[in-house]
Amino acid sequence: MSGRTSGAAAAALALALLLGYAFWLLGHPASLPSDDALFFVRAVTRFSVLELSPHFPGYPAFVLAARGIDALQHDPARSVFLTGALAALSIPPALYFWVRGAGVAPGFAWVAAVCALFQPSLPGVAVSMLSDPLGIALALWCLVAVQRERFGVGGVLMGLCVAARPSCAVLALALFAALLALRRAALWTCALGFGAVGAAAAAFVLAADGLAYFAEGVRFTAGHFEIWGRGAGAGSWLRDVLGLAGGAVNAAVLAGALGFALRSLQARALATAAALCMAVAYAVWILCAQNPDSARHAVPLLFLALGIAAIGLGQSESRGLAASVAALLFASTLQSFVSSVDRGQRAAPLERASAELAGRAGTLLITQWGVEWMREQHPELRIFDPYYAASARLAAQSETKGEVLRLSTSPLAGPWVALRELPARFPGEKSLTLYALRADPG
Amino acid sequence: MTESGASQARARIGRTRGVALALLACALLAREGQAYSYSAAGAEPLIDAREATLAALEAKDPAAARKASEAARAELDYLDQHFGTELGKALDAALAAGDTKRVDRIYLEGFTTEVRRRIAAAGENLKDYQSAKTLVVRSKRFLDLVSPQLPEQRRASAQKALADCLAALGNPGVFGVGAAPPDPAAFERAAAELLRSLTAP
Repeated sequence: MSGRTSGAAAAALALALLLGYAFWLLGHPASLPSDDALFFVRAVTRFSVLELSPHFPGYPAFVLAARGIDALQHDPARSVFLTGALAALSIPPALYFWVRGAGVAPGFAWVAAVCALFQPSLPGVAVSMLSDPLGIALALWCLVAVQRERFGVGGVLMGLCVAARPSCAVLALALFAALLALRRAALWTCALGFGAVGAAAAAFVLAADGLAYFAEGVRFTAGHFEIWGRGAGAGSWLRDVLGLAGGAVNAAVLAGALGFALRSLQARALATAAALCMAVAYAVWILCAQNPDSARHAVPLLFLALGIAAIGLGQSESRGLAASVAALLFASTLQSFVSSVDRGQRAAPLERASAELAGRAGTLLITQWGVEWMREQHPELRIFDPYYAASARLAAQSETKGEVLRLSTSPLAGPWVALRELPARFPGEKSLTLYALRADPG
Repeated sequence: MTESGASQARARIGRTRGVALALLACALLAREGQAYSYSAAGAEPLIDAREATLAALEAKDPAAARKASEAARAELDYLDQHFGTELGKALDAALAAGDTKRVDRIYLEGFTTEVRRRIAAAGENLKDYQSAKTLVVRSKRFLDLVSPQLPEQRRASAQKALADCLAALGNPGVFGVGAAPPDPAAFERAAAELLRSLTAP
C-alpha cells in the first residue's frame, strides 16, 4: 500500500473514530455538575459578573460562543453544554496538526490525536459545561498557528483562549516569553491580535457592569486567594490528578514517554519551545494559586504533555524504541479510558442529587456543592451553606420536625448516615453523597 | 425510686444528652474546611460576628461570645438609629441569658434590616449604577442567610423580587453603547415585594 493510500485510510479511520466519539459524547444530557456551570447558563440570557452570571472574570469568549449556539438552539443549558463539548472534540485534531507540523512521522501525530481523544479526562471536561475545553482547544490551535508562522492569527486565538478561560493568561505570558526569546519580530504581530481580542472582551464585560466590575474583581480575587484558590499544595490533589490521568499506571506511562521524548526533543523549534514554556508556567500556576477542590485545572497540562511527548518521540533517533513507547502510551491510554470512564449516558451527580431531594418540602439541607443550584431548584428546602459553619450546626441541632440532610463531596461519619451514593461519571468530576442526620446520635 | 432520686436521674440523663449534643455538634460539620462559596468573599461585620458569636456560645464561652458580638456593635447601632430596631439592647439581653437561639434570631433580624437598608440606599442611588448594583448584590448575601427561616412561598418570592431589583438597575454600557437606563418604577415595585416577602407576619 502506498504512503498516500495508508494516510487516507488512517484519516478515514480517525474521522470515523471522532464521529463515533462525538455521537456518544453529544448524547449526554446537558446536566449541570456544579454552580459554576449554572452561572454560565445564566450568563447566556443575562450577563453580569456582579450577579455571578457568570462569576468573575466573566469568561466573555465562552459566554459569547454559547450565545452564538443559543441563537440556533434557544436552550441556554444545552448551548453551554454544546460549546464545551464541541470545543473538546476539536482538541484531538488540534493536537494532530501541531505534532504533524513539527515534521515528525504521521504515525506519532495519529497516536497523539487518538491518545487525546481517549484521555480519560476529556469527556469529563467536555460535559462539565465549563470553559476549560474551549480554553485548552484555543491554546492548542494557537500553537498550530504559531508553528505555521501565522502570528496574527496565533495572537487572536490566544486572546480568545484567555477571554474564554482567564487562568490561561499564564499560557499567554509563556507564549510571549518564547516569542521574545526566539522570534522577537513576530512578538508585536502576535500582541496586536491578542490586544484586539482583549479590548473587545473588556468592552463586553464593562458594558454590562461598568466600573463596578473592578470592585467585584477586587472582592473575588481576595476570595480566590483567601477562601477557594489556595493552590494545589493546600489540598489532597495528587490522587485526584492521577485519577484525571486515568490512574497511576497511565500517568507513569505518560511521564515515562515524556521523559524519553525530552532527551531528543528539538526544543528550539518555536511552537515546541512555546509549549514547553506554557507547560512549566501553567504547572507553577496550578501548584501555587488554583482551587485545590477541582483537579480539572490540571487538564491543560495533560494535553500539552501529550503533544510534547509525541513530538519528542517522533524526533528520536532510536526510531524502534520511540515507536514502541508510542504504542505503549496508546495501549495504556485506551486501557485507562475503558477502565475509568462510565460510558453510560447519565445526568451529573448534582442533578441526580436534586432528583433525590424532590418531594421533601421543609427538609433542612446543608451543602457546600451546588448551593445556588439547589436554592434555585428547591425553594421548598431550607438550604444552609456550611461555609457559615456555626449557624448551620445550630440549625441542624435545633431541627425537631423535619429531616436534616447533607450533600457532601467527601466521606462523612459520626451522626451522618449515607442515603445515596452519587458517583462521578468521569475522572475529574465530583462524586457526591447524600447523607441524613441520624435522629438519635447516642 | 424516690422523687429526689428520680430528679437526679433526670439530671444525669440531661447531662448525658448535653454531652451527646456537644459531640454531635463537633461531628456535624467536621469537614467544613473544604467548603467554599463565591458569595462568601468580602467582609460583612454582622455575618462574621454572628458566626463567631454562635461558635463561642457553642463552646460555652460567654466572654468570647460577648467579645465576638462587639464586632457587630457599630452595624447594630446604625440599624437601631435609622430603622427603628432595638437590636443592640436585645442582643445584650440574649447574651446575658445565654440563649443561643434568641441570639441567632436577633442576628437574623439584623440581616433582614440590612437588606432593607441596602435596598433603600440602592433606590436612592439608581443614577449611580456602581453603588446601586453593589448594594443590591450585597443584600443577596443577607437574603440567602435569612431565606431558610422564611416560609416556602416567601422564600421563592423574595429571590425573584431581588432578581427583579437587579434587572431594574439597567446597565451602564461602554461610552453609551449597550447602555440600558434604570427603571425607578420597576425597582420600587420589586423592592416593595422583596421587603414584603421578608417581613410579612
